[in-house]
Amino acid sequence: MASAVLFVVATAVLIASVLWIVSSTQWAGIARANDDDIGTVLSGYRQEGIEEAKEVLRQRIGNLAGEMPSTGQTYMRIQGPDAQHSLGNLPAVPEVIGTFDMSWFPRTRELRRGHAVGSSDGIAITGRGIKLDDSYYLFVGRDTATLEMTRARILKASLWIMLGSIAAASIGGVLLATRLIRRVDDITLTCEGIIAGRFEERINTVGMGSEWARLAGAINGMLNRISSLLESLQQVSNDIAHDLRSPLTRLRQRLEIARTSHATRTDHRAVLDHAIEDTDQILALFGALLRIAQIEAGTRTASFEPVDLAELLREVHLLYQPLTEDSGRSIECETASKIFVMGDRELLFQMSSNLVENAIRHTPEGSQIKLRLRRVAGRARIEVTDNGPGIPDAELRHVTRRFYRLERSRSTPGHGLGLALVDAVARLHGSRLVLTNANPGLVACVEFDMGGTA
Amino acid sequence: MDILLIEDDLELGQSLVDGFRRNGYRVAHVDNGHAGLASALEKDHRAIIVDRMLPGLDGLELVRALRRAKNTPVIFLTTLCGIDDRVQGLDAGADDYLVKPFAFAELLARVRALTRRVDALSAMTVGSIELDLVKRTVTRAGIVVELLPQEFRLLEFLAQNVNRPVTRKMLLERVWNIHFDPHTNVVESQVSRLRSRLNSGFAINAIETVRGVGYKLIAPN
Repeated sequence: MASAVLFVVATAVLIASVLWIVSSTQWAGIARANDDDIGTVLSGYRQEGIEEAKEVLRQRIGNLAGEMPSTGQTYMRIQGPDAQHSLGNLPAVPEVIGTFDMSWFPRTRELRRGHAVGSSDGIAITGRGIKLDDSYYLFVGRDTATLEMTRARILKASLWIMLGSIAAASIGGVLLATRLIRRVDDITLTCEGIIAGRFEERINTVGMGSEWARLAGAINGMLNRISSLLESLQQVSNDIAHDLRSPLTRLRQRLEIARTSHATRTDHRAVLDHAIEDTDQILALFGALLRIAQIEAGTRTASFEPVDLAELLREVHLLYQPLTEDSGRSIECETASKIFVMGDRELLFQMSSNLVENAIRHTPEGSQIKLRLRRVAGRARIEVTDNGPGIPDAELRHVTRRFYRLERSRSTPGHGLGLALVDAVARLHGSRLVLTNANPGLVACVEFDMGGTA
Repeated sequence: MDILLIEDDLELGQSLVDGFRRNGYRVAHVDNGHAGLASALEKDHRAIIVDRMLPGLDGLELVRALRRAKNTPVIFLTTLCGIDDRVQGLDAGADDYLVKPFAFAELLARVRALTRRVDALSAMTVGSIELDLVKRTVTRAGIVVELLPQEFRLLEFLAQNVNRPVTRKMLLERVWNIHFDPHTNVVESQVSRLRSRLNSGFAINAIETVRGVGYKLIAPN
């Protein structure tokens, strides 16, 4: 609507400008022509006096005498002290010096100052008058009918143009609006489908212009994210339901046995200690699950800062060295310097720490663990390697799943969330955990884009 | 010593009151934020324990309001264990932040640590152990003890809490700035290293293990 109005206004302005230009050109033309004629008569007067001037006029008018008053016709009059000494194709004119308008009514032989508005048998004349000398006055004027006609023609034409442009603008507007509405409807329908639970629906971007494709692409991206969050939520719920029942069931059984048996106070004390241990374990599990869920929800990226990975890994190394050595294994650290990534230091520390703990837990005594940080193809790579048994190829894909325990580790302590957390942190930082068997041993690797100060 | 406990869970509150009284503290227990803030502003408690989610005045608001007037040490108790929740709590002005459920021994150890006098020192003496906090060196009975930087930090924290047990969680947080729970005995191993270096050549074990709580540094002669 607004654009249609704008269009009409613009057209009106254009027409008004054209009118004005045409008008003023024509007025200028008339003035110039009048001046030329005055000049000719005047020069005749100057050369040879009033008779010569009259002769010039006679010749000028004579050229037109006998013709009907036509449009653009020239009107001239030399006016002397009386009718005898005056001539021209106008009756007595008021002796106005300078440019002025008048109306000439040939039938009634009336002459009036100014343009009579809307008079059909009057001739509108615009002209100029000068005094030749004390006795004689010269007037030259022209009929302005052409001017009026041109103006009338332009106005009529412009009316048609305006109507035409309003029609065009309206049709254009309607077409655009229809197209817009159709696109919006498409998107709305898809979104409604998703709201209704059909989570796989996406907006079809075939045949869309670039801005629409971009919008649709963004919405589809958002839907993908929601989809994956939902999946994650679903998986967590399933995992909780499935894998938390075991420790809780165990706890309950222990307490129930204690209640029904004829145990001593010391025995009760032992049961309570175990019960607290079990409860702590379950709480730790919940805590870890919650942490993973928070990491996957990705709300931490806003507070990313430059992290010095070399310094971080060295700290992890120092922290775990005593424990590793006490448990009969060794740990080395090799870091390239000046490697910074944008990230969350606490999470990256926990990620690295989990990888080291994993290596300690799943290798036999005497194993060697290595922490490495280096630049590979412009990216920062963290590697935790060991020379233990590795992970059976069939299970490699599954170990980052929550609660996944290797077949051979099922009876050992641990809740199977360590690598799930590592993967979650890696993904939050735009990466992922890659596990490969080095035969012997396992290589756990996470790569990052470098960022922050470097 | 006088503690103010602001906790709306009455069962938990009662058990905490009992626990502190058994350990020689006087405890005042209120169950809502407004009464808590009023008491905190009127009286000079040695430490304030606040539940973060309170009816009426929210825990964060309470601490912010308290901090405009007083520097009383504050610990938050909360079920909110989000990574940002702790930062928020500390930013509001609390000195420590403990996630429920917790062992009472943990809370007790932290209250003890909070209520010690904190002076900016350049050196500390614990019996025959002397720490130069500027040069980061240690001697015991005049003999230099070689320590790694993290072992020195560990000893420094134990010395700041001399004769008070500090928990593993506290050590992880204060010495290594770790706020998650590693499921391994990292702390035990670290303490064990420090202990063996500190005790090497001496009869008395300067770092005692307190069962069910953690470790404490004693002042050996």
